[in-house]
Amino acid sequence: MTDPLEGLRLPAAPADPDPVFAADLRARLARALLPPGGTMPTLSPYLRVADARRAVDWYARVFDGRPRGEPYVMPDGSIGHAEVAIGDAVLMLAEGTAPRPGEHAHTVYVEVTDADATLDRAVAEGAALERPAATQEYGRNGVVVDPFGHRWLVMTPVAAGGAAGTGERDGAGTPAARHGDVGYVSVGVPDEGRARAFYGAVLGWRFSPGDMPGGWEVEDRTPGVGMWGGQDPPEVQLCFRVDDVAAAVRAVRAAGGEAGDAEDRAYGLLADCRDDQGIRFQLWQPPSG
Amino acid sequence: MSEHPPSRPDPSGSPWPPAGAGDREPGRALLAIYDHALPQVYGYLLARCGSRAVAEDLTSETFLAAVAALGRGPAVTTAWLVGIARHKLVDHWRRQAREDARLRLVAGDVAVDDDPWDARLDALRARQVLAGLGPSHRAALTLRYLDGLGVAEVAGHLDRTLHATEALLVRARAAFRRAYEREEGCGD
Repeated sequence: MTDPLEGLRLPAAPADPDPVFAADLRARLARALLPPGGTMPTLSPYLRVADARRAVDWYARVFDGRPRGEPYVMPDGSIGHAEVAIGDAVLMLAEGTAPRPGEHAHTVYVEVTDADATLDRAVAEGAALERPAATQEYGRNGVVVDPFGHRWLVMTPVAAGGAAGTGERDGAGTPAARHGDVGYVSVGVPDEGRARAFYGAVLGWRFSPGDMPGGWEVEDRTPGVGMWGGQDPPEVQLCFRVDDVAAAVRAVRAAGGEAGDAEDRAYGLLADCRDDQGIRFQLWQPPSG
Repeated sequence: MSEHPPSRPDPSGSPWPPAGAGDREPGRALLAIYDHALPQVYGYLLARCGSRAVAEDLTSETFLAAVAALGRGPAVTTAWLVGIARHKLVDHWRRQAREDARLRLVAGDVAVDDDPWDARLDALRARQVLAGLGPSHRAALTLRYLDGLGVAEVAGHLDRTLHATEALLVRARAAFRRAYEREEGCGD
């Protein structure tokens, strides 16, 4: 006995949707596929919720969003920070108890090129400084409550505006270098002629001859950059500024890395190091005074 | 500005650590097959739900669900996307069925016989009849006959037991037959 319904089998039948719909969906996909840590809108709402994992899931499902990166888990197991990408925006979430009267459940996260300057201006214009600017691994930031009662997290991300994460400033208004900053970048290449042509064309670098044969100083860069030929395979090494090179060398060894003894150079004390995964770097203590 | 220490990399340097794994590759793959997969996914949905607006909504849901499943699911292929589309279609009918259930408090399925039915179906009329059935009957018949899935697969999609699915298919076939024969009576 054949089943007459068997004859209803539909072969694959592609159909072109409305081109406007097709283009719009492609754009939505491209946005949804932005890598975590990719472009970040200047303004983002920051909500405090009791259960961040549930909230991430809820906002993602209801608003067609998707979790962005891994949540940041605090030592006590709570979620310190989580993000949901929704369209071209990012919703930020942190876990905390429900707000009491007078507390804020919402914060607006704003990225600026100079968090200190913005915070200073906000306070001068009547905002209450809730948390002064401080440098954290992801950038320099502080919190103000504006005259209208809204709370703002003002952030200069690490990557933006060059040397984010500096507290003290020197007289010229440029950030003063601190312990842990990158003080110098050494670029070693097999053929320095080709590298000079390449980076000259790509970045507009100009070179002046260095102290050593085959060595070149890139002019007017912060931090300074030096380039050497005859390095095969090529390697980039970072040189970190430290307050006390002897103490830093001990810290490298204690943390499982390798460090040579500091050598006295014309520009200060320098120690060659290798971290516990094999990356080579240098520690540099500038001459005092 | 004589703060720069002109240092010199050690020529015995270790090679670069391997570059970060290509965790964005599935995303690129999805965008790469988008132009080819879109008409397949949209065509699959349009042929089964019969409404451009619903087909567009479900197509969007399908691709966005694919983004969320990237890296967890199998390789990004058109067949994988059509599988997601099938889930979205079933979800759509399930939502409709819930709304229908709110409208009529008790559906009260009538007892049916699964008599043999020997007929040659007119495809166009069959499609119209199918579109007029309730969402759960429509879902069961679409998966079983239009998609050609086995009863066990249909049961998986509908989240029912095999036994319940067989019973649902019997009722759905009977409802289809009643409606088809009625339609035939009107049309001729």
